[in-house]
Amino acid sequence: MDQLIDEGFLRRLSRLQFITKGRCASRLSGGHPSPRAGVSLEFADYREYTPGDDFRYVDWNIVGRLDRVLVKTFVREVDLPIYLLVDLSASMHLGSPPKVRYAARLAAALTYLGLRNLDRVGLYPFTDHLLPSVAPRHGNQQMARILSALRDVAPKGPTSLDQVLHEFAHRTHETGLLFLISDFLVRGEYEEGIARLAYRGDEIVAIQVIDPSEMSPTISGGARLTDVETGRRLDLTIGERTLSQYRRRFEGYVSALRSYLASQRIPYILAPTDLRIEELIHVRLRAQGVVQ
Amino acid sequence: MILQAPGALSLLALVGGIVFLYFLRSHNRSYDVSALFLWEGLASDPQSRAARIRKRIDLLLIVQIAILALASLALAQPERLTTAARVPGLVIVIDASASMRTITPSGVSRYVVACARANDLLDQYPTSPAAVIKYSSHSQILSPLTNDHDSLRRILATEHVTWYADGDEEMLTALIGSVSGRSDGTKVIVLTDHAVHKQVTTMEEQLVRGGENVAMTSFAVREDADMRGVAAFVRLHNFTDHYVDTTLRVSDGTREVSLPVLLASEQEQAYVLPFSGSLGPEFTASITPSDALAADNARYFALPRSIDRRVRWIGERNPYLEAALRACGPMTILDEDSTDPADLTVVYNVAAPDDVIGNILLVHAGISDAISLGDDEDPGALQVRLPDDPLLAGVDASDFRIVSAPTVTADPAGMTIIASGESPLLYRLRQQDRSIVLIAPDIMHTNLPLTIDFPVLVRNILAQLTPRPTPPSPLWTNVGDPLSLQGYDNPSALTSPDGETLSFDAQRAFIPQSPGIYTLTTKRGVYPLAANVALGESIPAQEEAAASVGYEALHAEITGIPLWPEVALAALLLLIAEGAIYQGWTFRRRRG
Repeated sequence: MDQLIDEGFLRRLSRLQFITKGRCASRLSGGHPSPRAGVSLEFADYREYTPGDDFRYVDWNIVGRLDRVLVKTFVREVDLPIYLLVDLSASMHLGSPPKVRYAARLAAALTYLGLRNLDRVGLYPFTDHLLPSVAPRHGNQQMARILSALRDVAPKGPTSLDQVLHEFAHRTHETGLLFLISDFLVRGEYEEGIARLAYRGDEIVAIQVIDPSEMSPTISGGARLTDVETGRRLDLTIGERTLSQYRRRFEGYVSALRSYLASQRIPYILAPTDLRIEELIHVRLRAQGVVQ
Repeated sequence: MILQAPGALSLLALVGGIVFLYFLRSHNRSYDVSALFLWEGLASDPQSRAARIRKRIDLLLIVQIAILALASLALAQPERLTTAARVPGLVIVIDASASMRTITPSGVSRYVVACARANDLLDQYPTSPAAVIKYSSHSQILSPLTNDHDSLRRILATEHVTWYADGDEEMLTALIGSVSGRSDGTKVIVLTDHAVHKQVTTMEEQLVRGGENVAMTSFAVREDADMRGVAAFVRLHNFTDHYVDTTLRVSDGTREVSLPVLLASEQEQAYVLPFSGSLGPEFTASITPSDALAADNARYFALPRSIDRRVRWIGERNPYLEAALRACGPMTILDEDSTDPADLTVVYNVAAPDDVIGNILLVHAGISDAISLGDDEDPGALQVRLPDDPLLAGVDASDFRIVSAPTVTADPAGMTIIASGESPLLYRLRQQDRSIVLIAPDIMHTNLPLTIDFPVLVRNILAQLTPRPTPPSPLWTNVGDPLSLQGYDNPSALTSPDGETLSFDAQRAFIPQSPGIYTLTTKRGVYPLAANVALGESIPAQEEAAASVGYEALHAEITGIPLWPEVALAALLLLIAEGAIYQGWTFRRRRG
């Protein structure tokens, strides 16, 4: 744990909690509102009495004044499953520090934040398919399990977000708060998977982990570029003009991703690896309304 | 530089192979990227291509070629040819006399220049055993022959020039002989500023020159006849090649007299400076402004002072005799019981003790082993037996009247100067370690106190028994020359011109180490001792002394110093540097 997050950092996280915009469909009681009515302190509505309703919820004042038997309903509060989908493809190994290291630290911080708010947190690492995961659970033991899993990550293989998100939708039956942590450098192969989960009712937060050298590379001269995921090579003589083109293309790609996510009402957070995790959570996640 | 195995240089042909392999390999640097699709379709940058071509000859290629070149050179066993000669032995003689203090135009003293030349010689003969001799009137061997040139350099750095005079050449020859032993062909190089007679055939003299000098070659002070002042005698010599305007000053520590002086080139001029009212006794003569050799710009003189006679009086005090004694000069009368040493013992009207030391004036007194007195009686007519005796110089004894005088039985070895019959009235005896003068009658029974010849007689007696005391040895010397301290009365302290208390042996000589006024404190008084730099130190060397015997050409031997270890080390360092450069590039590529 000490390798990923330190105690001071955790202390500063302790005052935060996740915000859910919609109603979660969990079957367990918790601190987040559910679309179904239930027992809680928060009043929701009145409805006509039907046989079998608990007499305790009949509003006798209404009966006296209107001569109608109405029962009070309350907001049901359920707990929030938090799913951490962390990209472990080969491209996450690049960067200084490696993007996967940054992603792991971020996942550890989110795990702590969720568990401390008595939510269930699960870890789902993936490449082009889902890797062995840690199912959502409560408690300190879960923190240890997730940290252990994050510490042992070894990025390799290609990425296929659509495939992975399909697998995830099949494997999980509860909607929840889903943090999708990836570099998203997959040439648009994410729309279908994200749309499916959004349709299911999951609250998705997309966090794009990018090394600064990927946004603004400093390569010059003759270069042989190798795609670490596909192994494909490209010989290119790179100068300032080439780099300028690249930057425009990269910005266009990110802009397209952001537009798509916005269309799905999914918060998008850009996480350069030179940005401190603390600042990412306190500033950027808070600005996107993910935490408060 | 020569190569012992020049064939190894053929390895340089491998440079072509390195270059060939370099151009064969891909020059595109490899970079891993996350998304190649972002790069696909981008246009290459022609300007960058040109830059790439320019960079084709990169640092690693240059380093590799340099490594190969150095390795080939090391295998070729290069040697550096030195002009250094090898001789069986090298004896470096450095003149450390006072004249080597002369400041050269380069701002350092001749001695420093000589030491620098000595270091050059050690460089020139790196493999020859060498010795160093410090040459002056107190020459010494600083180091015998040794191959440890570093220790010789350390010795040269720590030794200093002296105030001594030039050395004795015979002594130098003996020192050279003791250093070189039986080694034939030992090269001797004398670094000096004056001509040295070549004592050995392999001696070479190298003159250290530079610095102009106006010297004070003589300085003495004499008391005026009226004892009211002194006159200083100074001689100046202008050794430069131009006129010199200087000021001569003579000081006794509290007052000074000065004289402006203009000296032509090579002119020597003597000056007499009256210095009334001063009896010194310490005098300093100096010329200003100072020149390159400051050692002879000031000289010192100590004037011998009158010293009181000390007279021990035994018996009855007689004012007439005492007055006559005091009329002869400053005098201190010591009591009979005083333990202070005395110049003369006066015994009046009593028998002299047996333990009296030194000369004795007996007045109506005897002494056990030589003179015995009988009863007083009328002496009758006086007989002057030795009228030419020094005791009677200027004395007319015919005026002397004696009422009574004792009969005297005296040692016949003495001389009776005035007698009455057979009994001496004025008698003189020279014993082994003392002189005795006898005035047989009690002078109060004579008319002596009333005669004008009495003080003359007493003066003559005193002159015979106690010549006016003077310092037992000269009060001045040259630095480095011994000054005997024997004869001074219980010397108790000796201080240097700087006021530092010096240790000394009163029974031996004192050798001053620097010029100035030293002070010797004794029981009889304080004596100033003047020490000056020897006159010879002011005289410049003759031109012809600079000739060299050309010994080096006869015995020179070209030697080669192996350079391959240094070259191989350089190649190894470059190899390490190449590895570091390559690792650095790889790391940066991975980051990129």
